[in-house]
Amino acid sequence: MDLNELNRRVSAARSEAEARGETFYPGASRVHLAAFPPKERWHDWVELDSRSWPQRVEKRYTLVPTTCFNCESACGLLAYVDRDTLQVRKFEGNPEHPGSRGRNCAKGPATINQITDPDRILYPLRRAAGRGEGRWERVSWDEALDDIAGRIRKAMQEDRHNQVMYHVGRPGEDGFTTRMLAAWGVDGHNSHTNVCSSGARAGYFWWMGMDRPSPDYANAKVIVLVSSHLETGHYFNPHAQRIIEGKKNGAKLIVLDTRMSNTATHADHWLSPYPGSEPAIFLAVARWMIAERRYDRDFVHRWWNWREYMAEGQGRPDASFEEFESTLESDYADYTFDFAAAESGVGAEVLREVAEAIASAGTRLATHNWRSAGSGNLGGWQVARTMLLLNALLGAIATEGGTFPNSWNKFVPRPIRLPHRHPRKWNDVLWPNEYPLALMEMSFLMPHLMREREGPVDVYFTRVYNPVWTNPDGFSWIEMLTDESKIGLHVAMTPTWSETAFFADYVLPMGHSSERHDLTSYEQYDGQWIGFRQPVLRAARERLGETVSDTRDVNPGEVWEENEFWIELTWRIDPDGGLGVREFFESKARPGEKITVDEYYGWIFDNTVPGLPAAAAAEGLTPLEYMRRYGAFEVARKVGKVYAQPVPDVELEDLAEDTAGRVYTRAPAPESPKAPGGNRFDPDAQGRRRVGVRVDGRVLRGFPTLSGKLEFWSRTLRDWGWEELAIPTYVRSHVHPQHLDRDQMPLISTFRLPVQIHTRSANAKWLDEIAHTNPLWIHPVDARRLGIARTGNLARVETELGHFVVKAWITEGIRPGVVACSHHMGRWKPEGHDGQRIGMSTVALGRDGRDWMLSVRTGGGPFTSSDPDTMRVWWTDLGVHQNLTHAVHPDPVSGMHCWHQAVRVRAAEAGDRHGDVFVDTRRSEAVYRKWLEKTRSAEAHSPDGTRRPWFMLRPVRPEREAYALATAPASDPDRG
Amino acid sequence: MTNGLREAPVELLRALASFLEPPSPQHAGLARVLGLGSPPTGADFADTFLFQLHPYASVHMGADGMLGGPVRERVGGFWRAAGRVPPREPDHLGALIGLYAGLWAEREGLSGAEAELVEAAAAALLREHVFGWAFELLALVAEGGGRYAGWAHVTYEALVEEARALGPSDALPVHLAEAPALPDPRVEGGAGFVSALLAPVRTGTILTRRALTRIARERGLGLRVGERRWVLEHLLGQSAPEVLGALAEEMDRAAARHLERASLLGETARFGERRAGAASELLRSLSSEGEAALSEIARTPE
Repeated sequence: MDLNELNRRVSAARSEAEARGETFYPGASRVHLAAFPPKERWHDWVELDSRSWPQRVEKRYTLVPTTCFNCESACGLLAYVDRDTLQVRKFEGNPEHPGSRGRNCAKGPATINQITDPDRILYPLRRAAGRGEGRWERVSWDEALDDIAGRIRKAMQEDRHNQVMYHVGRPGEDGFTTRMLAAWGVDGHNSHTNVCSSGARAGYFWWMGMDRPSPDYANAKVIVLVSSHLETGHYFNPHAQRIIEGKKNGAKLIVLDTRMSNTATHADHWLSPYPGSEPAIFLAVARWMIAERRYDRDFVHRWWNWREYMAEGQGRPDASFEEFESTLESDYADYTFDFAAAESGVGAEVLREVAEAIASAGTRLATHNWRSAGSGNLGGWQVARTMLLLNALLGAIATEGGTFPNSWNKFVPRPIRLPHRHPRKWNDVLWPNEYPLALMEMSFLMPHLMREREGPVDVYFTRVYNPVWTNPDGFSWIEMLTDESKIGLHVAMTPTWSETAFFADYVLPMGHSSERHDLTSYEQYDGQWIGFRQPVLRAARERLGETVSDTRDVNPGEVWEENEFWIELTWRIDPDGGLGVREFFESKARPGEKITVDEYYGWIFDNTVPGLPAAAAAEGLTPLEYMRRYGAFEVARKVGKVYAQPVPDVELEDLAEDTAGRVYTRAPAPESPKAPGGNRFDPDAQGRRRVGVRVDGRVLRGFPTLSGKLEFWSRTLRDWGWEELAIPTYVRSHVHPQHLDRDQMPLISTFRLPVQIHTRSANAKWLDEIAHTNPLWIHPVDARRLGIARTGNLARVETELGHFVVKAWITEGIRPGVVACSHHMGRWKPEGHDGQRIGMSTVALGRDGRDWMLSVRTGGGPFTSSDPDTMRVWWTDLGVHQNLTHAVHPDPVSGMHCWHQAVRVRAAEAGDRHGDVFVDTRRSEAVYRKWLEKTRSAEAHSPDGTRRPWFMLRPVRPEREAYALATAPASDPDRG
Repeated sequence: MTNGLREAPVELLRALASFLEPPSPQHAGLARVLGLGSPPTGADFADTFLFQLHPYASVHMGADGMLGGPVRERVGGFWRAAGRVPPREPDHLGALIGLYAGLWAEREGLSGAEAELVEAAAAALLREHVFGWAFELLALVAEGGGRYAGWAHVTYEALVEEARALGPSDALPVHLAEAPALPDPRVEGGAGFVSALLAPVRTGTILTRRALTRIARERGLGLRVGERRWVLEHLLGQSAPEVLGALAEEMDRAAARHLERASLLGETARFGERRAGAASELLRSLSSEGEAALSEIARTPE
């Protein structure tokens, strides 16, 4: 046997296969890392057709990358486009995507369900009866565009810009829409963030001036999660794979979750705290680290604003660092392990062990809170604030294995024709004066605020967002949406039916991930990348030599993409350019003509993505062609400690330095390829711009905070009336035992089902088969006490507003004394309406004044459609819509809705049926007012006569003058 | 040879390793190139690698003869030390040969100390994690005939070539050095004895289902259908002296095979030969005990 000859023959066979354009050893293998089709062959890829089995029939595909649109991770997808039929056959992962690296969760491949959903909306619809009555007529895009544009144009002509509002769920894109709203001069950007992540964001913001974490899990020594990142969460798939890498490298995983989540099952230390007690735990860990001197003194000395704290918070301007350390120790002296144990119910010895583990991480401590406890509790923003205190003590900020701020691991490129204008008027429905420090818009209070304000929102867009279902207090939303004196025109932009779309005037069919353009970038590791979402059939046809300039030509029915829609709408709002809006949507290359999507993205890729033109040129492609071919590009890797970077000499000119060490320069800011955004800082009295902060004699970049340092103490919180919260501390939650009656218990509702994604995935049959209901987690001890005999029995859960009826799941996976019910599921359509059949129950909606009832008429089950699989639907239980029974609980500082509920649980009564909901919206109004009393308004507390600190981020920032508190009464018809 | 150093047949090794994956259409082409005749089917794969001979280091070098445990952990550690993320099954023979080929591929672009370091890692991989069990497994696959026999023969020879290049070693792999021997049930009790018989590292012998079937048929014993321990317990329950004698013959054959490889592998092969010899001796001694005492061994619950 001549082994060399055999080796030569195998080599020759490989060469021959590759010369034929085939892959040698395709498929997942332990031997070859050929888990993905080689990118060189994406254009013409051959696979055996699974449906032809056992015949071996070859199918030819062209593989087109795009970006998933289900959750906000923006993972890369590869669409397999059949070259014979030009239909998408399946979606798999895009190995060229730096964030997801070819891997996907179940939601990515399930995109094929969504685009082939037999019940999806394919044509623009206009209501043909009263709003909410369920009768629709098909209209042309032209009719819809002219009507909507006409109303917006009129509002602009009458200086009613703020009567135009755009309400978005997870945006899934960076920059396009905020640019458009700025161009329109509309302060109408309304995000869902305050029902999602504002709690955690605020905790990060008050430390770093940046509002999201980017943990470097893969290189961590210890990972602390207040989240379920191995199963759900932002950014689940990219993060989960890196958490597992970290674990494989020996990292310890500490999970705080009251439920035994899938994530908790992977933890080295699983803590099941009483809801809301998490900050007490972190402060106890911090106290121990401080007392034991287990922290990085040098880092704290150099990078905390401790001098400012001692001077202004303690009245000791000449205090030494050692005196600060003593103060620090006394500040947290009460947070002993015993105290935390009493608050959380987790043993003091366990906490000590966890503290030891955390302290041992050094600069390799990766921590993360996104929603979870941060979004459940009054003062929930202290979860992230106290958690990041641990990083700040260890110097584990922007270190390898530590936690980065999002802005340094995200790249949003500067777009073409950046609008130079800002909205002139303040929208106090979105940014009411009672919540001057809210991280984002007070979106979930809209029905209540609209009740108090005169005048309508004249044109209200809900863009792939479903506030009736997603937000608390959904019946109040229905009351608002059906009141035409409040909402003039409701335009629901959605790929699929939603509870909110039922109450729209227009329902406009928008594309799923393979049917639209967007640009994305998210913080998922210590690097920066951009991902390109594109209509894959358009890209496929263009590869084959066709020209496609309108995605409606390739999308199913008349489904459109948003970019082209907004460009067209803007031109119809301002057809002659007289409003000064159209110019931002005109072509640079062809003055006077509409900008195209190709030009918009092509300009960005040509001009403001460093490295992309060179990478494209190396392959003989234009940057746009490169992005269409590969779908993603890594702009930077290993960004590291931006705060410690020296400011280059060229930026240091005629410097001035204030007493806090902040350095100002006359040198102009170098042009940045990034889109402007983030915090704004005023120049010094002589007009110099802030350039950095002096540390150990050198001018370093510092943090985008007022002090330029990590803000252990916040001047802003102090100045705006929250002095007691100016340093990281513990706020007892609204569901703390001392706030509950004896028969009440906390309900946790903030967790996801692993394969579902809020309102967006009900039309994915594969996902629905896996997860379609949301039972009430209840401990056996509680179940016995409450007379709930066995799993599947019905329970009645009473909230402040009413009650819902749900099946019980008796499990030891929940802490005794606490119940939990996922907010996913419980989707519904009213009787007599079209809608999703696979994921929505049909319900009877009853109303008697402000008493509302919802009862399920039919659940899931098989039905006939163009998809034979729908006859195989075996499940009938589609869960319960519990959010309808939740009152609004706005945190007075962060503005976050505090989701946890104080509930009474008992066995269902005779006549109760699974899915029943009863709500009295008068009570929701009363709860809104009760929580309003917790606020400290700008009128009463603003230190400078403004509505909000100027430096704080706003997605679409109004002109400076609009920040001044209005002297006019709040009943101004323009609410400006 | 390049730069005066040896060159491993990377392509061949990768191709051979890929046969440890479930059969795919591509294996037909490879089988043709390698002159292996008809490519194996899914049924061949299931019988060979799922029922008879499990291609995992942890099964063959672990004290319990089962998947996972310290052996897999140690092999995973080797992957990490080699700068790689361990796959889900780091001790699978396909993965290990693939890794070996990968190390040689990595070495191609290196020279001097860097190249030597990678070569040393490749050598350590084979000596520590492959040679202690793969030859015996491949020999039995070849002996079993069928569509994997030709593949097993070529793979065996390819590993022989690599072993020859490395030369025999006087050191035992850590897995083997730490592995306990077959316990004497008369001293240590019967608990765990049958399981220990099925742990290759304790007996130097892989007792396949095929071997147990043969023992039963040749002696006219009833063969229960089930896992190997269940089968063996019931064989012992029927005629312990006879079955122990038959097992001793299996171990004698294994010892002879190990001995044949002694000049090639050194201490690793001699370890196998000693283990098989000692096990054979113990079983013969046991078989001379009274029937009642032996059946007690078989009935001792584990």
